[in-house]
Amino acid sequence: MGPIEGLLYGFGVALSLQNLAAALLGALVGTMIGVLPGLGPVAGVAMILPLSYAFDPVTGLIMMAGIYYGAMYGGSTTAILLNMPGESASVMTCIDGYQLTKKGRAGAVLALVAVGSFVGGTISVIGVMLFAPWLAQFGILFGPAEFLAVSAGGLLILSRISGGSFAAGIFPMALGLMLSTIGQEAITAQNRFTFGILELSQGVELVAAVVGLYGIAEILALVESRLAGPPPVPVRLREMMPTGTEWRRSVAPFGRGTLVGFVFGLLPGPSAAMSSFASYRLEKAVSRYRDEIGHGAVEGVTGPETANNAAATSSMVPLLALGIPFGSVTALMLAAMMVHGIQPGPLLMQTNADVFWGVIASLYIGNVALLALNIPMIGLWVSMLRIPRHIFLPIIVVIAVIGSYGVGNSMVDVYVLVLLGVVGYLLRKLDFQLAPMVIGLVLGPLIEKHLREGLFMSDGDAWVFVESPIALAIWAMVALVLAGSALAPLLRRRRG
Amino acid sequence: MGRTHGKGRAYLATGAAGVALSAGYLATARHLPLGEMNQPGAGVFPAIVGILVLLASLAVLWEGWRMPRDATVEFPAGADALRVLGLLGLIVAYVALLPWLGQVAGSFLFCLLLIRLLSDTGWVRAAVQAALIAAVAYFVFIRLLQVQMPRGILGL
Repeated sequence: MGPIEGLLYGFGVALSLQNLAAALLGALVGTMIGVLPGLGPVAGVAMILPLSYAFDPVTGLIMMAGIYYGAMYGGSTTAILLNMPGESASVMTCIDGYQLTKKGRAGAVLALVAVGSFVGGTISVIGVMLFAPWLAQFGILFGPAEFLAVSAGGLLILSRISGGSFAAGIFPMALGLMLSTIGQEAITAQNRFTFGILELSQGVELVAAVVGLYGIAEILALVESRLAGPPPVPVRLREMMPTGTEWRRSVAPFGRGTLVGFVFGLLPGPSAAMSSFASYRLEKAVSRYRDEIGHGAVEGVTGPETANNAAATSSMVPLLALGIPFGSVTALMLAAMMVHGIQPGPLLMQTNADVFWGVIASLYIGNVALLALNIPMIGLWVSMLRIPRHIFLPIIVVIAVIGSYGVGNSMVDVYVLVLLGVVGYLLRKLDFQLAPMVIGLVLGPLIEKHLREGLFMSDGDAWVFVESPIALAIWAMVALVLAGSALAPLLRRRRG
Repeated sequence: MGRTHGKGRAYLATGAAGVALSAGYLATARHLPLGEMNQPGAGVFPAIVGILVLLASLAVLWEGWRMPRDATVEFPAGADALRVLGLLGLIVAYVALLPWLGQVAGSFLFCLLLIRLLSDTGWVRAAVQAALIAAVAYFVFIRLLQVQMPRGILGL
């Protein structure tokens, strides 16, 4: 099936009433999650994961994708109106977004961000549509050695470039891998590290772990301060029309942001946050209005916001084409596929064409839904910011507990939620990165599987992992990135 | 205002905890079969992971030792610390009592006390708000979405 045929088939899948409703609901819930503090895209998608098991796999995945890019957009609302990033990808948006709000341009900027997110997401979908099948064809050549190189190497790169020091990435990654070894081992069904607790034989429940690390930890951080933020400025629909100059100045950042975001989405790491940072730096370097950036320029908002939505979309490529997630949200989507018995990987396009093309087509629909929802509903999103903290925090905790218990009807999962909430809070305090921990937890079983399969198939010859040119090239790239990231600070110090 | 602590010392404590964790993990993993190179057993991957956790913990210790003296980490102090600990205590109590109290009564009590902890809302108003949250959660998740939660003393 070629890209055009595949896309038409995907639209046939995604435009069913159930899937259309899932895309719309996902975009709506995602925006709400992004707007409210306490839950970011990762915890939001994790909480919806158990609900997705009740639907068929395509519907569940479509809803999860909708929540992801909805939350990316929602996070920008608090950044622009309150100078509070709803999630890490909106940090750069605060700088110029809040300055523009103080100049009375909040409505226009929110509209430009909605359009930019639509443009970035939609063009990125075209890239996904063309690139993912090509990568999947290439991925058919992969055996255990190549998959081990992509998954273990990708995890190493992610831990190194997630931000912070070497230890800040590698320590949580190792903890995530350690958690992944708890429970029944796949090949011989032997229980490991369960200490006689029957419920642990199913392993550490991903939903509980992720909601604890991101949700409970964030709530503990939020209550550190008694003060609530400033009230948001009211935004009326008639204030949302940007001026001709604002439109003109946004066109080039839309294009640049899309390109930057698409490329970053294909790489391991927190692609949405990294792409918005890179896009901001790019705008500061090349924009005609670079001197105004930092003091309230539309380029400083539209570029990064376009980029983070484009990255959210293109991050589906490694997941759909290789079955390897490079980010926390796509790791959760991988988990959803596996629960439904779908084997992610290069053959997904052939074995589950409805999933592959249905999810891609739903990205188009989701982007249209976001645009349609966000501009008319901006007043609602702003009014949600007025919900007092003492109301929405108990709601989030109650939902987190129900979500964690409901997956396996086990109190052990709820204990994991609380324990990892505390661990996440402490790790964040020390500037450790949480994404490598989540991805370590998800990729651990896959890495073990490829490692043991490779040794079985090669009759115990460990050289098999670096013998094939593809595996060797991947490991060389990993070594290059790791060496580059280690040497860069030394070079910067030498240059003074 | 929070209280600042030396980040280096915090890293040293974390690294030490990591070393202890990896030692316990590796000691437990020793009982798993390693198998042969061509028939790797269930203990191979945990052994690799245990060593990785140990190395990562040593990296944390190294960075903690090399950390500049002026690098600090801020933890809440005074009333702010009490609020964080209060929330944590409430969550732990909620989770511990959930099987006995059940979802509805447990959620109601948790929300009531948390609303009181985070705001100056009076008891009656807080009770109404908590009851609303518990009721909506019950109807949406337990009745509508059929999530099986502990029923507890109320049998709901």
